[in-house]
Amino acid sequence: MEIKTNQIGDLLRNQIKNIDSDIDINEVGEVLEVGDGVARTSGLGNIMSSELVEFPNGVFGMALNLEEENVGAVLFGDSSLIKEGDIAKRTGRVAEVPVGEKLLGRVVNPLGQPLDGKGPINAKETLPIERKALGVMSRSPVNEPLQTGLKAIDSMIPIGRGQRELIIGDRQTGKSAIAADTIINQKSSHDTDSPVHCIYVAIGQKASTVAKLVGELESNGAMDYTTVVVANASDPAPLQYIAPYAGCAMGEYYRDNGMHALIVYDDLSKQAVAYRQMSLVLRRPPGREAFPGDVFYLHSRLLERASKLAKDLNSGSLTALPIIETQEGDVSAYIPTNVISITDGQIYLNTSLFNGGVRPAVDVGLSVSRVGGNAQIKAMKKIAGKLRLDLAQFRELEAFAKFASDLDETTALQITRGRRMVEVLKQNQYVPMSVSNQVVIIYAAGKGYLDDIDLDRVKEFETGLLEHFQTKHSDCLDKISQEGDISDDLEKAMNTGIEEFKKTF
Amino acid sequence: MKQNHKKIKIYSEAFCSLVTNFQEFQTTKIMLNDFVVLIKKDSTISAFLQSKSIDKSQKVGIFKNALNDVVNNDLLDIIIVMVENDDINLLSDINKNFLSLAKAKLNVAYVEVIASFDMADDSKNNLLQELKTATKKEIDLNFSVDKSLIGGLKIKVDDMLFDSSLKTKLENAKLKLIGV
Repeated sequence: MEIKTNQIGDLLRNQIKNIDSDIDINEVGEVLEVGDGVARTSGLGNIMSSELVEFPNGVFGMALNLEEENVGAVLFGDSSLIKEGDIAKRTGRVAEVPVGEKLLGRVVNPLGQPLDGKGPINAKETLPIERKALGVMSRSPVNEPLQTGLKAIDSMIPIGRGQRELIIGDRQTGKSAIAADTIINQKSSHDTDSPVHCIYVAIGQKASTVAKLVGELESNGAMDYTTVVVANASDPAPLQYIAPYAGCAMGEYYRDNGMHALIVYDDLSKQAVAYRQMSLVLRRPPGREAFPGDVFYLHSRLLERASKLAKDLNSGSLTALPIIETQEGDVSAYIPTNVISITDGQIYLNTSLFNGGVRPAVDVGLSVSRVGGNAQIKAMKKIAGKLRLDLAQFRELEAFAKFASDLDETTALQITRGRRMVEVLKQNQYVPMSVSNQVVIIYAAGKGYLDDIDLDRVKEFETGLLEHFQTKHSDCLDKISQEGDISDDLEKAMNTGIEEFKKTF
Repeated sequence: MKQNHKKIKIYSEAFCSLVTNFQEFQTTKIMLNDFVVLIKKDSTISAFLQSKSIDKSQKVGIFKNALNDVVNNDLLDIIIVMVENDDINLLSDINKNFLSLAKAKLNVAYVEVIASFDMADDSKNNLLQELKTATKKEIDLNFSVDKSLIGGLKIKVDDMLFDSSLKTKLENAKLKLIGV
């Protein structure tokens, strides 16, 4: 086919006419100063609080200080890419993140951008990171258990779906380990009709620590139902500040769609420090420990978003496990007291217990679950009802026994049983246990079947007993998990099973 | 800091009271801009103003002698008060505040046109008329050339930026392609 020059000209002219002549219209301001992750801009008179602002070189910021003369915006990117006199554009939208099941198995930053090199996330929906917590009428009381797989916690400090249970303790006491075990244990929930999806928010941690955790989750098959939101120690403070809100928005997607989610904030002390840095740079007045006045609201508005929804809203839930690191066991510092007062209980981890080989190092005296009791299954409630008190008495008697050589029979028995119970409650990392197995071993210890077993053979006894039940009395285990209660017949069968095994041990 | 804020407000309001029409606004604006540039960039003048060894009355005398015939008397009076009170270093901020006050008072829009080429005078006039009609305001028009725009114009009317430049279109297309 031959085309003449004038025809080509016509064709080109027609195409040029059809060029999209849309004009980009934006409200803009001018950068007055930039530094320490904050940009101050003039103009932007109509900007909303928390609105995203676009700076040159693809750097985004969030408007936080709306003052008479200027707007203070925290930067999510490299502040060295912005200079005085640059244009700052309004975007008209608040910070939002992609949500949905496409995020499962992914490691993302607090803006929802992938960090794992597995390609783009094609999530269909987004949610604003800052959302108002639900009101009273939308909620239902916590009444469904969330099994952590840890004997010490599921028996004495039970957690319910929709609860906010704080994990608090000094550095290196196993706080993150409890959270990781809880996530791994949710694998069993995916065989039921109410699976729990997990979100792990790492704030201000070393990248290597997060990489190790992701590796553990992957090797235990937990990444299939988990999203990891990461704001590393090297990331700008604003990213560390928004990370928990971003993770929470991702969790709310499941809750609002009638599903269940568990979110771990590891840890909120570092988020508070990042917020303090931002606030000081924004010239907000410092208060106690130089934290700004609204640091309580920083955590209360986040943790209030964890909830169990009412039946007419499909009964979804978002359970939160915030983590707080204390300094030298000081729970009366500013941030720990704030978060303790906001949450529905705390799991306190003790350094001396940890160093004494009690792991998880849960301090039963200082740990409490204010609402989880209603969510505990009846079987566990029956056998563990007295456990907390017995252990407290044991600790007291053990302290006294150090001074006395001859003890009366009852006291000696209490100490013997207490020591075995402590041994039973010890558990290795990444080995969560099903609730039926927990019931069997705690029942055996509580009934005194382990009293005559040597302390160093308790673990061996536990392993053997559980194997024995799985091979010869699996009906007992099934009944516990199905009925959630211990009937007289079941109790008899359990006694028989334990006695049978003990004869062979 | 708060004290300076107060002073900036008082001086800028004083300058604003001098302008009653667009012509006066333009003259005062140019004059103040020139002063700001002189004080910032001319080392002799800035050293003279900052000098502690030169008496204030001497400074005022020099200002009066030099500017009496070229600067409007009222404007000169305000500047002399600033010199007397050692506030001349605030002139840059005062100028900014004056511009926003005067624009509001006289219904003036500040328009900055950035083009990839030097526009012909006819085009500039046409654009000015169009802008006057569109904004229903007097236009304080400023032109500049930025070849990196490749084609099209960027027009900034106060806080609104109308960007039809080819550079921005290409950047937007790039972002769409990489899925940001």
